[in-house]
Amino acid sequence: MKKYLAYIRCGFLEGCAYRSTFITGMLANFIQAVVLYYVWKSIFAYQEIVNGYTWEIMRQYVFVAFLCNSVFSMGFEMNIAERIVKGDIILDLLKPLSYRGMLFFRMLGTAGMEFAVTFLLIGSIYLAVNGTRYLSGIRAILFLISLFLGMGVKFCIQYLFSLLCFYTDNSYGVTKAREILTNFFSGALIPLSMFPGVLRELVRYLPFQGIVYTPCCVFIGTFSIEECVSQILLQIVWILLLSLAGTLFGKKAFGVISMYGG
Amino acid sequence: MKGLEGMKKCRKYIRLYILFQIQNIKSLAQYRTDFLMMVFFTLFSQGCNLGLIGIIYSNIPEVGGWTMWEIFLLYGFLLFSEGFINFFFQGAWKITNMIHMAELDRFLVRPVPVGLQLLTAKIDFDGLNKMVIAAAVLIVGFIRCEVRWNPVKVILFLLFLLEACVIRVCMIWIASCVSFWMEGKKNSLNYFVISLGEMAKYPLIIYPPVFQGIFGYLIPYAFVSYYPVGYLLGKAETGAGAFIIPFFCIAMLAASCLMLRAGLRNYESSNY
Repeated sequence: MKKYLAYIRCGFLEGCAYRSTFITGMLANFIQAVVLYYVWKSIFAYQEIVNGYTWEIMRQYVFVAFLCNSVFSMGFEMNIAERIVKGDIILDLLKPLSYRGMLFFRMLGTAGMEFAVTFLLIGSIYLAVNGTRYLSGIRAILFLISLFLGMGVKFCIQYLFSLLCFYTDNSYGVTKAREILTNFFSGALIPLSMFPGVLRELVRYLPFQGIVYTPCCVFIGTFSIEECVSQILLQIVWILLLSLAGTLFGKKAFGVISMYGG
Repeated sequence: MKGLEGMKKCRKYIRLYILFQIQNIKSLAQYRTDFLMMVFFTLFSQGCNLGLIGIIYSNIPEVGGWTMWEIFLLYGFLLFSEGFINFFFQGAWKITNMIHMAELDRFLVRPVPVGLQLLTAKIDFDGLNKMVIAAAVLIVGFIRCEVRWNPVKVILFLLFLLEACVIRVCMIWIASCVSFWMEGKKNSLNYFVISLGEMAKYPLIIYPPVFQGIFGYLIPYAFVSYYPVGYLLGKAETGAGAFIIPFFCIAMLAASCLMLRAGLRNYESSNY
């Protein structure tokens, strides 16, 4: 465990060192959140309720979704692909600890830094827009649990995509594809319940909803408490399934590395 | 006499531009699978972006008085100009890196304008793909919006599209040129400017006055999509704005040139 703690620290410091990457990424997401805020605002100026959502709920959703989405936002696919091409990846694989564990704890450290910054920013904006009237203790706790599990789901998905880099060597496309998939299907942009018929059914059976939609709904209260618990359990099931897939796929992927040097 | 010489010079530069780009295209043949993958991912991501707008509209009839296809037109303008930069002037993105790695030195000693060399420093085939998608969106959008075309409108449309491209190239150019005064490897400003494009996907009127001011005049995204499309669709509120665009274009081109000049004067090579 001590080795992994060292990686958390390492990740945290890395996050601080590369803060400009994080800040630009966050700003880009933030602009998107602001745009969506005004789009929804203009929509709700015409009609009171859209698909069961009122303006009161929506304006919480936009900001909470942004918080969930920007934590753990730095994908590590690019980094891994670079290491594969350079051959440095072998150094990671040779270390006497699990490769995935190393990645996870490093990301955890970085996420800690990101979360602190984003939380302060979004927390203050949220309070300025919505005030404290919608907050409740039990939901806040469930939200944090769900957010943490959401990070787990996100990590598993990123890990699977990063393994793809072993085959493609092209990180840009893989990263883009993953970002788009998660943004679209996780509910980061609009609540999943607004999706039309077939898509709505489809996202129910995809792991992405655990990243943003589940924690958001837990927080803003569109889920009842029982629903919250069952959705959180679903997140855990997805983490287990995805990490199993990661293990199996990892075994295959590590076999295909061809070294160009190192 | 001077005019003739100027024309000669111009022709020479255009020829050089084409030669440089052909060289770039050759270098791309090296990464054929990469290219195919990018085609796929671009299609996929633009599909998702359009899908998102579609999903929002499946719940509501209009945003700020604009229907779905009208919004798609905004999107088409934005995407086309983006593709245009990627394909023709992707070099504008590389300035930061070139300054940092002192690659610019190489350009300074050649008897070709530095601006031209910088613009052709890179090519991104993805841009072609984006332009094709954007063109398709624009065509379908205009058919759906039932715009009554006449020759003047067609010319205006092409002019608007060109102006949108020019404005965006200049935006990135200016943002990148700030690197001349900045230390360090990264200049996030151009990335930030691109991210702001998100705003231009929806009509300007939905934003509060402060943002309208910023996007109308400070970072003129409103002139890339909102004013031209609004004018073509005959929206009342955009009439005057559409006619200021050419002046904006000229002002931005001038600003870009000045930025490069001032930047080069300020340039000190780093010790790489």
